[in-house]
Amino acid sequence: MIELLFQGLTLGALYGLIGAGLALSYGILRVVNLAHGEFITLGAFMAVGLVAAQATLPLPVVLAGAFGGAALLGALMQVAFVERAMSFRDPMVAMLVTFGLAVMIRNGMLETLGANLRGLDVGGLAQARIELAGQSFGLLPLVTLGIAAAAFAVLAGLIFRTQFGREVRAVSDRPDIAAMMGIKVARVHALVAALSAGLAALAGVLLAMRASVSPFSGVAHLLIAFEVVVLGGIGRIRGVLLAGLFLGMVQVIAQRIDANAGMLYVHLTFFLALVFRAVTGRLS
Amino acid sequence: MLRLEGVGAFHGQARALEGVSLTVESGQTHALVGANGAGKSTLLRLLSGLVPDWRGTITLDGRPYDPRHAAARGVALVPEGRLLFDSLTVEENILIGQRGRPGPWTLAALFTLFPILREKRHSRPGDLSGGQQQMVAIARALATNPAVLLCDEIALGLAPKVVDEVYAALSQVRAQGLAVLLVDQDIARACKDAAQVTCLLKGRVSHQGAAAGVTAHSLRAAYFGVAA
Repeated sequence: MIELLFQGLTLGALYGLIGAGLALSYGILRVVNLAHGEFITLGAFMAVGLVAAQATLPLPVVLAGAFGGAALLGALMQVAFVERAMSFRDPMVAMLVTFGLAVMIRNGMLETLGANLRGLDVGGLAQARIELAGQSFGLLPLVTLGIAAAAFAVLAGLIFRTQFGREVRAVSDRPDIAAMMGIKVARVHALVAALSAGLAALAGVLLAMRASVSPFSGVAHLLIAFEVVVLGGIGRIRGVLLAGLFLGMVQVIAQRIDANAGMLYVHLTFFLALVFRAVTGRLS
Repeated sequence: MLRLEGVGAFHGQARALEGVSLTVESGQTHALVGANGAGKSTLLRLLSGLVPDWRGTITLDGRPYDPRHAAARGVALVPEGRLLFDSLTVEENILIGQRGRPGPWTLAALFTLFPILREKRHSRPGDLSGGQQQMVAIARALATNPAVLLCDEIALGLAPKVVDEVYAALSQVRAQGLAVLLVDQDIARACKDAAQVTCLLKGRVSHQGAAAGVTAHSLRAAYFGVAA
């Protein structure tokens, strides 16, 4: 039972992290970022590339490298393409721009890395176990859980405890008044896009430590991210974490019942939650 | 001192302001009155950088003034409808203003000006009364330590007692040397505190002069555009 709970928590925290970047993007920039899944995959491939280049790199350096690389690319894309698209009244314009960027990133990975599945070799960490309170836990899931929890704690601190976080929320509420108060709105947008892409990449590295990814994995990741964000509440960090934990728990329990259908039950649960909201008038 | 000469503005193809000239002296209130649609709010929004299509000459303390840099130059707006940041607490709304320009309006000074805000510092704007929200809007603008305070419909929808409190606070603000450009539908109330008054009619200045002795009745012709 504890093992099941632990597996659900680990997967759920990972799902929460997958959704966190998308929640930031939609909640603050008001952009449905269809390239979010590609940033997750890109993060995984950056980590694979870093380890291939220097096998002895410590995990924090790999994580920081993937986060930084994706954040830089996310900020550049925001400045070069998305910010301009956001000036149109129709939100479809920005969404289509992110769709185009997703296609470019996916094909860029395909051209440079090929279509093969790749995973991040974590050496002995994959098999290592430790004893805690009389229970045996896998070290890799513990590390995954710890990193995801730390990422959420830092994100929450950044958004709710700093001047930058206040500016981010002010821009989200009323961008014109925020600009009038002297906040550089485009700069805040670029930093949020960087944070969103960096979080996606972080999730990608953690995913690659558990399973293999291909340049085509982004769509499946995006679907999970959407489910987590819609269930948790757009722009709500705590809600996204709870929704991720809920869906992760559902998947782990479903896999125990039917080993091949865990993901199916995740999607079904999401669908039923939407039906419940529609029936109770809380769909918006 | 804020000086406008021949200022005009457009809303799309429509002319919202034309040839507006006025001066707002430091330590004084300049009342801006006029009927709905006369261009009062447009003028305040223009000065705050929220109206991109404008022409004319504006100077602040003798130097050319670009409204896109309103906060940096020391011009702050208390907008109509308050337009507070709903997801920020009272204290956070005020702290958003405290970036850049140093000056006397620290968080502690603003809590002294509006003591109720100290009690409500962790509340969200949605949980406050209209009067308290107006105080937050004024405090947020003052937190930028402006030289010029623009107040749009500052008493709209407030109880008379609260209006008195708001005007008393503005009086203290003026005593610090700030120039105040004030829009209020209540002409008598606005002119009571002001040194100068400008009346707008269809985007143009229809009356300008000392505010002392001005009443709604005496401004009738300039206000409605009909013979007195």
